[in-house]
Amino acid sequence: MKEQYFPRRFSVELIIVLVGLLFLSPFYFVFANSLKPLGAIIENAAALPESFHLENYRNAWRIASFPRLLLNSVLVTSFSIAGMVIMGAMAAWRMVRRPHRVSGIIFVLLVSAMVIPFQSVMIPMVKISSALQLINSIPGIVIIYFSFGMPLTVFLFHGFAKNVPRELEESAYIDGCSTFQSFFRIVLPMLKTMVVTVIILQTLWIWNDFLLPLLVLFDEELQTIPLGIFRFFGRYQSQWDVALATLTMGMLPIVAFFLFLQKHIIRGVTAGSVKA
Amino acid sequence: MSVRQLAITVVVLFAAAGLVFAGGQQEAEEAEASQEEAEEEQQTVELNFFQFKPYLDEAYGDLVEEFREENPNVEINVQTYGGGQQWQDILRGRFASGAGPEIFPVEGPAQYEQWSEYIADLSGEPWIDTAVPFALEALNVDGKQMGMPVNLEGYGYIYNKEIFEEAGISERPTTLSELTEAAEQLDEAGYTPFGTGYATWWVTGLHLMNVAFAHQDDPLAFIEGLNDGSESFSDNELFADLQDLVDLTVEYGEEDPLTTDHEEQVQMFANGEVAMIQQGVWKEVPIMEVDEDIEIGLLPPALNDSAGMDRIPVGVPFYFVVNKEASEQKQEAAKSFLNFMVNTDVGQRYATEEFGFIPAYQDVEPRGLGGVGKDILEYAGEDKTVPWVFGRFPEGFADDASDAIQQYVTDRISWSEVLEQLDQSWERRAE
Amino acid sequence: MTRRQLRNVREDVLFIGPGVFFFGLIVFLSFLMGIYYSFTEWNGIDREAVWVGLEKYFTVFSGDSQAVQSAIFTVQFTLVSVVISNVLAFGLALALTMALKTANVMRTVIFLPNVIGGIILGFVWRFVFANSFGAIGDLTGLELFNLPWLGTPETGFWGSVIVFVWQRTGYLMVIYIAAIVTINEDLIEAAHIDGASSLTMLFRIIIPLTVPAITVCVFLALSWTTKMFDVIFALTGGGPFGSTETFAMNIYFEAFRYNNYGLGSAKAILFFIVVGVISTTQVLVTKRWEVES
Repeated sequence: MKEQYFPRRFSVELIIVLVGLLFLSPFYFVFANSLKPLGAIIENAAALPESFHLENYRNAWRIASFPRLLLNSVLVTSFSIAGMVIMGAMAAWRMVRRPHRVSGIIFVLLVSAMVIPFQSVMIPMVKISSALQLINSIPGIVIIYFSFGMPLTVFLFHGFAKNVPRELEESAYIDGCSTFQSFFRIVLPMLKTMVVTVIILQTLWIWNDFLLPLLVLFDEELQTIPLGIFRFFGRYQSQWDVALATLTMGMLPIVAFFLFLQKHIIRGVTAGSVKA
Repeated sequence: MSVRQLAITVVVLFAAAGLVFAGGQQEAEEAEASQEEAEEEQQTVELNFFQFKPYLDEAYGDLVEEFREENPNVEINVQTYGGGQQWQDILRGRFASGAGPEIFPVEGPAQYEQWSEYIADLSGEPWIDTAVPFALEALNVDGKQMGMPVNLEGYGYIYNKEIFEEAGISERPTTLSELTEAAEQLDEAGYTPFGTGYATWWVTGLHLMNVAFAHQDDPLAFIEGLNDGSESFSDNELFADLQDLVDLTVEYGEEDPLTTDHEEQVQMFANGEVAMIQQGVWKEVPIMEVDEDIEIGLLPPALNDSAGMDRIPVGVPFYFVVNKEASEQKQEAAKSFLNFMVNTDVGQRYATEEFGFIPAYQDVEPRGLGGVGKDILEYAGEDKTVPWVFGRFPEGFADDASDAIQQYVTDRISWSEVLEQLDQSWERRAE
Repeated sequence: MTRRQLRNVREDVLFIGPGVFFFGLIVFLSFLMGIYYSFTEWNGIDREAVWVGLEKYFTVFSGDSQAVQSAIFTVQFTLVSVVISNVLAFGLALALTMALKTANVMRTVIFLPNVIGGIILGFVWRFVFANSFGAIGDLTGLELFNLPWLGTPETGFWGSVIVFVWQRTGYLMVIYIAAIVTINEDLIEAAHIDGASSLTMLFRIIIPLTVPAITVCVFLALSWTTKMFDVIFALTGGGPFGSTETFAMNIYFEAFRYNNYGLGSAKAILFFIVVGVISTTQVLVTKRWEVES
C-alpha cells in the first residue's frame, strides 16, 4: 500500500530538503564569507571563497580575545547549573516527600515567579546586585543565575520526583542512612533523567543569555561569548571579515554541544516545554 | 561519569568557587586595609582612569608611563570602553558596584547634571589660565570649573579635493546655493555627491541638529527659550532652513540613506564613491587608513545663503572630571595627572602627535594634523566657528530627533511634522 | 517541639533553604522593589528615589509615543510570527513524520538555530540582509532581494519576522512531531480504508488529536514573541526610527539609556501584568488539558 505513495513521498522529500537548505543558508553565507578578505565580501557576498583566508580567524581570535570569552562562558554556565541542579533537586524532593503548609506556599511562589519576564525585574536587580557586590564578578553572576534559575529547576524536579518510588529510600533509612546521605546516594541517581533535562534546558538559556551579562559584567576580562560578540560589533561594525570569523567561532561550541547531545536535547526540549 | 561522581565533582567545584569568592572578598578587604596603610606612609596611590576612545587605549597607556617616571608613587590603570553609548552604562555600573573610577569623561552639561553628586571642583587648577576660554564654558557651573577640556573637534562636510577638482569646482562652497551647485556639478561628473550616513543616530540627532541650533543668534538663550516654552522648533526660521540642507543631501545622496551608517560613510568616501560626508575630524584617521594619499578638507554645513553660514561647528567633545568620592590623596593625584596631560611638554606632545588632537589650549603648537584638522584651525583662526550645543540636549532628545529625520528622508512625514515631533520630544524630555 | 519535629524543621531548612534563599535574594526582592520604583522619579545615579505616586504610569499612556509605538510593534509582530511559525512547524512536522529518508538530518538542521544565542543570530542576519541579499539579487535579478531590508519599517518588520520564524520553527516542530507520532496508526489506517482524503484526515483526525501540542506551541511562541529582545536588538537595534523596537527593548532603553528608572519600572510592571496574564492562561489551559486526557 505504501508503494503507491512513492511519487508523493518523493516530492515531499524534495521540498523538505530544499527547506533544510534554506534554513542552512545563513550559516553558509557567514561561514563562506568569513574565509574571504573584506574586498571580496563586499564585491560578492554569495560566492564561494576563492581561497581559505584564515587571516580573519587569526585576527578574530586575538582581537575578540576568544579564549577568554570561551572560558568565562564555560565557568558561568557550569557553576550556575551545578548549583541550580543541587539546590533545586534538594528543595523539590523535600517538598514532595514531606509536604506541609510552608513548603507548599514556597512552591506556589516559585512557580508563580516563572511568569515574571526578566525585563520586569532587571532594573531593581541591578541595584540589588550592586548593593550585594555581585556586580562585575563571575561568582556574582553565578549567584544571580541561581536566583533566576531556581523556579524552573524546582518545578521540573518537583514534577519528576512525584513519580519516583519511595521504597529504596525507605530501605536506606532502615540501613541507617541520614536523610542527607540517602538523598545523594539513592535519590539523586534516580533523578538522573531530569538532571540531564535541567542541564540541557539551562545550558541553552545561560550559554546564550545576553541581557543579564550586559547589565552586570563590565570588565573585558569577564565577558561571556554573547556579550563579547556584542561589544566587538560595537567597535568593528563594518569590518565584516573579522566580524564573521568571530560569529562563526561564537557559534561553534554550542553547535558542537548540540550535535553531540542531540537526542537528549530534543527529548529535554519536548519534556521541558510540555511541562513549563 | 555516574551521577554520584558528577554530584561529588559538582560539590567540590562549588566549594572551590566558594573559596575563590571568599578569597576575592578577603583580597578586597586586604586591599582596603593596605590602602589605609598607604595613606599613612605615603606609598603607592592607585588611580583608575576611564576613557572611551578605543584607538587611544595604547597611547594613553604610554602617557601614563611617562607620568609615572615623574611620579613613581602613582599607579594609573587605563580603562577603555568604546562603542556608542555603551560606555555610559559601564560607567554607571562601575559606580553602582562601588568601584567608580577616579577620572572619567563627561560629554557636556546634560551629563554633568547626572553625575554632579560625584564631581569634584577643579577651580584653581593651573591649566585654566592657558585654556581657550570658550572651551571652559560648558562645564563652568556657577563660577566653578568642574571639568577639564582636552581637545577641540569640528565637523562639517569632509570633501575629497581630487574629485572636486575633477568636477571643475575650484571655489570652496560656503553657502547653500554654492553647495547645491557643487552637488550638481559632481552629479554631472558622474559622482555621488553625498554619503549621508543617516542610519547613525548621532549623525542626524546630534550633529545635523546642532547646525540649526548653533547658528541661532544666541544658542544658549534659544535652548532656555525651548525649556520655558517661549521658543519652538516649528516657529524657528533656521529649523525651516534645515529642511533645504537635508533635502539637498538626500537628493544628491546615496540610495537608501537609512542603510548606511557612519562606518559605511567612511568606506564609501575613502573608496572615492562619494565626494562629501557629514563627519568630523575624528574620522580623519579611519579615512587615511583606507587611503593614505587621499586629499581631504572640510566644508561648512550651510543652511541658507546668508554671510554667516561659512562657519564650522567647533566644540569640546568631552571633559575629564575627578571623582569627589575618592580620598583626598587620590583626588590630588588625579588632578596632577590631568594637569600633566594638558599643561606639560610631554602631555602636549602626546595630545598633538600621538592623539592627533586639536588642543584646547593656547600655548600648544598643533602638530600632526591632517587636512580636516588644518582646515578647522584655519576656520578657528578666522573666527569662523559656531558652538556645539548638543551637550545641552535633554537625555533622549537626540534619539527622537534622529527618528524624526529618518522618517522625513523616507517620505513618511512632512518637515512640519518633523518640527512638531521635535517640539513634543523637547517638552517631554526636558522635564 | 519534639526532637523529631526539630529535626524535620532543620532538614527542611537544609534542603529547601538554599534554593529559596537565592531566589528570594534577587528575583523576589527585585520584584517588590520594582513595584516601589515604579512610583518614583529616579535617574539611577542619585542615591535617593523621589516618590511621585502614579505619575509615571500616566506618562506611559499619555506622553510617551515611543512606548505606544513599541507596544503596537510587539503586538503585530507577535500575531504574525506566532501564526507563521506554528503553521510552518506543523507542516514540517507532518512531512517529517512521513518516514522520509532525510527525516533525522532535516530535523537536526531545522532545529539547529534554536541552540544559538539571539545576539549571534541577529548579527548573522544583519549580514545576510545587508550583504548576501544584495548579492543574490544581483545574481537572480529578483527585486525582492534588492530591497533596503533593514532600512524601512515595513521591511524591518518582515525581516524580524523572518528571523524569528527561522530561529524558532524547529523547536515548535519537535513538539509537534512528538505529538503526531503518538497518534494511533490503526486510526489512520482505518481512515484510509474508509477512503478518507488527506485533507479530511488532517482536519478530522490529526489536528483534533494534537490540540494539546498546538496549545503548548502557541503559548510558547507567544511568550517568546512578547518578550522579544536579543535578536532584534542585534538585528536592527530598534531602527529605522524606532519602528522595530519591542516593548522589552523600550524598557531597557528607558532605564539604561535615558536614565529614567522610575518610568522604566512603571513600564516593567505593566509588561509583567500583560505577560503574566498570557502565561497564567497558558498554565491553566495546559492544566485543564492534562486533567481531561
